[in-house]
Amino acid sequence: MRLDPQIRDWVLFPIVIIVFLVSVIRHYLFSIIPSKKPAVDKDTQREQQLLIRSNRICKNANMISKRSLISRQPFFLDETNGELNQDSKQKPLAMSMMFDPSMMTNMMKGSMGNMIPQVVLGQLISYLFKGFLVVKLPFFLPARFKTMLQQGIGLSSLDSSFVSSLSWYFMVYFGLSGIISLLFQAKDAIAHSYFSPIKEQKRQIQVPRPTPAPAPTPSLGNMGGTDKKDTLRNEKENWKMIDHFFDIQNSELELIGKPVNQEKVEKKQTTNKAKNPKKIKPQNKKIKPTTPKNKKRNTKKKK
Amino acid sequence: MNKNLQILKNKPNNWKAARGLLREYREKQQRNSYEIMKYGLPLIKKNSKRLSKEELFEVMEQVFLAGLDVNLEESNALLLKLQKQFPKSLRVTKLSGLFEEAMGHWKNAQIIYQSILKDNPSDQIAQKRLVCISKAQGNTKLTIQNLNKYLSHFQGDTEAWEELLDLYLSQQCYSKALFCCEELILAEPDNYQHHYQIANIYYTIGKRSDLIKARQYYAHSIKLLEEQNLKSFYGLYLTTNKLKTLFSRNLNQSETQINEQLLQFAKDKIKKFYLQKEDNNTKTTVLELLEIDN
Repeated sequence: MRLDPQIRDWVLFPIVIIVFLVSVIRHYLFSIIPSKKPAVDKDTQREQQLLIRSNRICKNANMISKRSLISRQPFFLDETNGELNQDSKQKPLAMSMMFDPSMMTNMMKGSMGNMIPQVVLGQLISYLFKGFLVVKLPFFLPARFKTMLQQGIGLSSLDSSFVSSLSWYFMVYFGLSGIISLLFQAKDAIAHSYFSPIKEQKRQIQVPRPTPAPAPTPSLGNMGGTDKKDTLRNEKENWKMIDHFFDIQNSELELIGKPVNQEKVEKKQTTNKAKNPKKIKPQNKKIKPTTPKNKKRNTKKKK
Repeated sequence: MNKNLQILKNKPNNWKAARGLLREYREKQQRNSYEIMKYGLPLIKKNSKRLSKEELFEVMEQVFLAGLDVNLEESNALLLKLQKQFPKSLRVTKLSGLFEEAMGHWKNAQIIYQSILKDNPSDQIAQKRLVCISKAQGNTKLTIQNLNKYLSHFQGDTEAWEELLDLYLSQQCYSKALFCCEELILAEPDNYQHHYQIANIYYTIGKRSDLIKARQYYAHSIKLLEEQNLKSFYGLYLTTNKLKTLFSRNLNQSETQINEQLLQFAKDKIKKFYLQKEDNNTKTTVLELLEIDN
């Protein structure tokens, strides 16, 4: 079964061209309408940075000595003055977003700018290109999709993989969004400057999303309005999970080919023999002379 | 060498290569001011029609920044053009602040940045520049205070921690410098230079436990990068030598053994490195000195 070349020329390609042109026009329109970046609150900024630093410390705690780690703990974990025991001063975003006028324009641009052309075009296309089949989908669909995909056609016995022009429109819309974002990303990539480092730029590139969800505004934290106060306290979990072992002391042993320090050797042995009792982690760098027995028996090579 | 740069050395008028070179420098945020000025300025003056309007202003900003290092007059002219085109722009105001700094008009620059902060109190760059002004004036104590205030707000700013480290080292506050260096290691644990730096600080403090830590950090720096890291091998050699000569009484047997092995390891590597090189004065001197300790 072949597609009528006239349908191909006058329906398939025009729909692709229409979608492409509309996306391009929309992109340029959006870049003309000025949108203010939402002003980041000073307190929010400070807390974000605090969380970043706290995260870093917990992640890489094994790179610094135990004493340094302990010296940082009061700043974060002190009962009364520690940073992670304070109430978070971030304003709940959901409410303020509704009423802040500059955010309104952003939201309008985001959700409406995507939804309205999509709906309008969809209606237009289903009106203009009514009454014939355009595409046969290569996969099988259950019969329920017939009402959605075969809008202008009344044949109830027709295979549901033959679809009308509206569904072709949707396919093109979702498909082209990737290509279009590539095109405009290449353009935006020309604009790197002293003041906007590359990482920030990537976040700010407005990708025309096909879904009617709001376009990605720079997120300032959690969207859940309930537990705002505890954003800092939740970070304390990370600190509890720190299992400090000064990894650096093993590097010198590795360089001269010695088996590495006690704790790591034992971790390997416990996988083989369940008999090994739990031993205390080495507190300082003094290598205790009680270990040579273990080291002599342990003929495994450690690199 | 850079492909575009090669083309430009042969044909300095090739506007395509110039544009490509400037784009690369913008992407990588490189500060090759002389080259940017040399190839970017003709691009703006003669070939401005070849660039799209957006790119033209990006290039103007880039050449402006290069001019702050190399040619202040051109920067002034560019700044006036940018101000004419974007009269109320925050970005251009920051550029004008930079220009005042480059000219040495500290008070003017401060006024500009403080007015920026009035309207945008959370602007990171203006706050940073205020610290830079006090540093440029040579007032180390004040700079340290301001930088600490900045860091209490922006705790994740690695660049600022590096700057604070340099300031403390210049004032010989080694324990505080250690703290900053640890922050750098926590931020970038795979960067061999931070480990090398902290090892230097521990070595400088010089007590027995610090020397051992220094030795371990030098070893870690070597572990991260062996190829072009001769300085860490030197550090390792010096630390182990110092431990051997000054603290041999305070080390027990296994520790002495490890120390000796590391000393030998460092010596061998340094020798190996210099034997690969051509004969020159440094080579003979180093090899002789290494033999003396035997």
